[in-house]
Amino acid sequence: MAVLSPAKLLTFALTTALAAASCGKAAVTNKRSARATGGPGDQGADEPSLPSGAKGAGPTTPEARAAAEAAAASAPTHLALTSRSLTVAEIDETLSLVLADDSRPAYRLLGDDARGPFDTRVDLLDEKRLNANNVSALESMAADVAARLIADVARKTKVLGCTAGPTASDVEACLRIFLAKAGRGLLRRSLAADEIERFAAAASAAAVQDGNADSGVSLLVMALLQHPEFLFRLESGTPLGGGLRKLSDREWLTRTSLALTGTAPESDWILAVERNGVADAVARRAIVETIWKSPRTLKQLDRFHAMWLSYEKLPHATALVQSMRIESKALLEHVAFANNSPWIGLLTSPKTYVDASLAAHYGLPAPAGGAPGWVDYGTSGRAGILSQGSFLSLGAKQNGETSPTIRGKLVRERLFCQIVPPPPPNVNVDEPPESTDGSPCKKARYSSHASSGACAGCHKLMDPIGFGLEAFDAAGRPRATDKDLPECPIDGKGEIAGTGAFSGPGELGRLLVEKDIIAGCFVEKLWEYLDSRETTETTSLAAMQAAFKSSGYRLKDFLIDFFASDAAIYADAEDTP
Amino acid sequence: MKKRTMDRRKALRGAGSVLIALPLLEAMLDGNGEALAQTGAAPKKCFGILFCGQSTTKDNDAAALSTFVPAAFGGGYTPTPAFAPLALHGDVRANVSLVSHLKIPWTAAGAAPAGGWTGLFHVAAKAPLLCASTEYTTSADQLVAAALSGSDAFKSLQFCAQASWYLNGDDYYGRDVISYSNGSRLPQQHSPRAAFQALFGTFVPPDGGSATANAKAQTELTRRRSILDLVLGERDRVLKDLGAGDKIRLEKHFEEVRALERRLAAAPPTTTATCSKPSDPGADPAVTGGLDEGGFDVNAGYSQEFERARTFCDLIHMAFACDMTHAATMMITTFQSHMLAHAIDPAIRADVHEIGHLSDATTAHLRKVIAWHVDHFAYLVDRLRATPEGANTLLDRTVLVFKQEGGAGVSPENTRAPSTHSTENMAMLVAGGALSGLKLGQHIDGKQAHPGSVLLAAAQAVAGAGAIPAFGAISQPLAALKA
Repeated sequence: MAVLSPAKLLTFALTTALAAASCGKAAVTNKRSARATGGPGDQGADEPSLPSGAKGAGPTTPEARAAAEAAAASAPTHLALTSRSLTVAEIDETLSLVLADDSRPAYRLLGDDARGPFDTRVDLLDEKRLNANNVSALESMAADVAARLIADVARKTKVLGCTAGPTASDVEACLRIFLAKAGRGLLRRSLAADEIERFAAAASAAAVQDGNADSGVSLLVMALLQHPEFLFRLESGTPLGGGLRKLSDREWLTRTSLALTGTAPESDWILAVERNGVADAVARRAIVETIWKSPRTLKQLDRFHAMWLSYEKLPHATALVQSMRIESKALLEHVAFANNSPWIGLLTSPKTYVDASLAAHYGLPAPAGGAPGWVDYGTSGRAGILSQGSFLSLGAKQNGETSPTIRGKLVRERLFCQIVPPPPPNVNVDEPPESTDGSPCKKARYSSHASSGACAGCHKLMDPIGFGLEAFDAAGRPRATDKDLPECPIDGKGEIAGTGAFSGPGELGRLLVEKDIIAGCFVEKLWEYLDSRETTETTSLAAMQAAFKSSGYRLKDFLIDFFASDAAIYADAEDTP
Repeated sequence: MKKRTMDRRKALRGAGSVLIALPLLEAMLDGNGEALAQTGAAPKKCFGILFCGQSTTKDNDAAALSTFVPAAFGGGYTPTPAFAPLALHGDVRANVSLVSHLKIPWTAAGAAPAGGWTGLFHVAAKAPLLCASTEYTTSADQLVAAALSGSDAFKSLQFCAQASWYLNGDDYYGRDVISYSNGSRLPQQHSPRAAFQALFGTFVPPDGGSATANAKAQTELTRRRSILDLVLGERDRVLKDLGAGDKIRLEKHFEEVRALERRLAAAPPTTTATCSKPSDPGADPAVTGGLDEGGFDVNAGYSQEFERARTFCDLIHMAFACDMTHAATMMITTFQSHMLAHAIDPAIRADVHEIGHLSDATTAHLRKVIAWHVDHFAYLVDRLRATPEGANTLLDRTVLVFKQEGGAGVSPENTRAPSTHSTENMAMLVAGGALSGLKLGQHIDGKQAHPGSVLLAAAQAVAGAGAIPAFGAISQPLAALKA
């Protein structure tokens, strides 16, 4: 784990009551008390509504607007004002969008970002970026991007939007066109006239000195890619009092675009916002709905799910990994994009999208016609994303073996949003438990956890969950016996202490939905991702969880409503100029 | 370099006597290109640490230690397979001492002992290894950097050859760092390309280079500076509306940009008999994906780390030779390394970390993996030794240390020895030359001393005991290592 604040180790009554006796002071805990103080599990008939101003037309008179602003400012759903570095993924996606550079230069030259579990964590980004190595690497990245753009004539011509003529004035004119276009895309705003003058003058001088327009293009690319407004998502807003700030239109657009698409806003969106403003919810909704239709939104929300459920990198052969990632993305698209159906369908879907190879891998019938397609899970014990190889690879050991403890721990952490305390210092977590009765079977070996006083409390909360998934190996294939041990049958039965019994990933998913657990945790993780930090503000989280529920768990409606709402243009700001 | 007061390249070209003058001239120069007779100062020494993310044993292999370190102590020892590469690369054994039987203290209960640890090996044993302290303080390379860097273009270098964690999740956090300064991590540079550009992007072409090439290089340098000027020109506008905390963070970024500009503005290193621009490594090798379980995809989990490490070795070598810096670290692999080992031996179907744990990997596999790391160390030692500086070599004013994540024995996690998660029976390599004041070419019995005592001896050999009187909880250098 990265950084965990002890202050966040709040007691979750159900599990703690079960665990406290043997798991001691370090019992499995929820990260915050939201669920016990108004989370979706406690909503009952008194369902809260979406944040004020999130639906319908916005106020049209100054008085009404002032009243609406006051109401929105008091609504408890503000993300924190956050200036942070762009993530490596955001840089690469933006370079793809603006310069058609798909070579992932930031990933190659800056190295990947830390996860916590999301790459947007501001503290981790600070540590990685605010140092000499990174600044040098950024310069190399800028030079690398510029050189490859110049070398690729077809791409350069397309990206520039002009062809430099023979005279110096022709060259400068083309450089200005490129500067205005690339500058808007990279800095996420239109450049001011004085900026155009400064940058164009330097670029023109370079072109003249070398007798080559490419030198000017290269200079502009390098300057823009090292520009602080490209490298950082800067938020300052305007003060409203009470620790709140109102984001500028540009700040709101950048925040929304990065959150939903993982990419800088497209030029058209920037121009629309600059031209018309986004003073009311109607205008914002129009922009957000446009953003939602971008294919980058599905791509980024797929990334979010992969970071959350820990399947960004899968320990399998490349072809199998690709099939699994396509499968998971297809389900998300089917549930949240194509049909705008309740997001919880992600856990209960009775069918999955596979190619023939993956179907055979799972022991499912191949899709009709030979091409990838949807197939029913049937009586396989599978349902939803938890039955896919991407999720079932969770915590796999490299030798292809599964660890019920690691699977159970990650289920607790990722699906329950609980914190499992670290093992005591005298435990080698890389070693499977040894048998106490001579049996080689995994269930017998892990039973030593239950009989060990120091370990039993926590392991009772993890191992039974993992054993409920044991009938599926670390690549998601069904199995009836332990790996390489045909004498050790697997019953696949599991239990979540305090929640219920289940058998297999399909029943686990349904249980999490029926017990109203998963949606609240999902929103909590989403909030962490959006807020760029571990969530500490429980009131806002509870309101967001309630809003998700009142949306009917429709992810599309929920996110569009939130980013279009007045609440989304306010931010909590402890940091003042 | 800033200390230079004369453009030697121009002077030599003007004299028209480059080829004749160079050998004699170099013998009279220090690493900064300054004549020793003029400055009266000895050239600054250099210090480096190479790190291997693997221990010296496999779990449950009681015989592992005896196959890892030689039985005999003293000079003329025969390297075991793990250290066999010392006999390659020109046979650097005479310049390298193996110090074994080192121990970081630990406890299974209660507070960690001074300079020791308790808890999870991959988490809690790091600070004692890096900083000789239970907490992260300052690593040995940074103690040296603080003592020696002065006006160096680079206070220190931090590289990491392993390109990726190769696994999911947040466990990577901090496992790819071995340099610390006052408790702050100094991230390692993962890109050989970026490191090359940063170090040698301003290098003046060799004497005798064409005027056109020289002019082109000068133009490129001037342009890079003008770009940074443009960027820095945005500072006031960018900072204007930010909160106080954000201003501090952005100011740190701008300060690093200014530092980069100062490096570009400084007189660039020029070619001498010892200092030259390394070969351009070209684009970085692609970073591949995760690990494989079934089909064992050889494209996953390995990103040409051998070539990456070699490039970093070449950069450290030449950065020392050109007096651009005097402290460097390189993680060949990270803590708990999940780099696939198939490139080391196709028969190894596991990653570096798992080899220590898996029952289907052998001790011989483990030795091969460690030897693969030692090979990079030996290569760098040889490069330093093959670089003459007057009557001496660059190695003579360098001390290089090779250390591993763990040793062999018991640990808080497993008191039923032996375990790879142990800091007992650790071993380190120390390389240097005639000016080091260290006992070299020996197998030295560490007699359960803390590895920090080896690092303290090495650091003091470079910077002096006055500059570095202690290292974390360690106040006494390993006496057996001193000549």
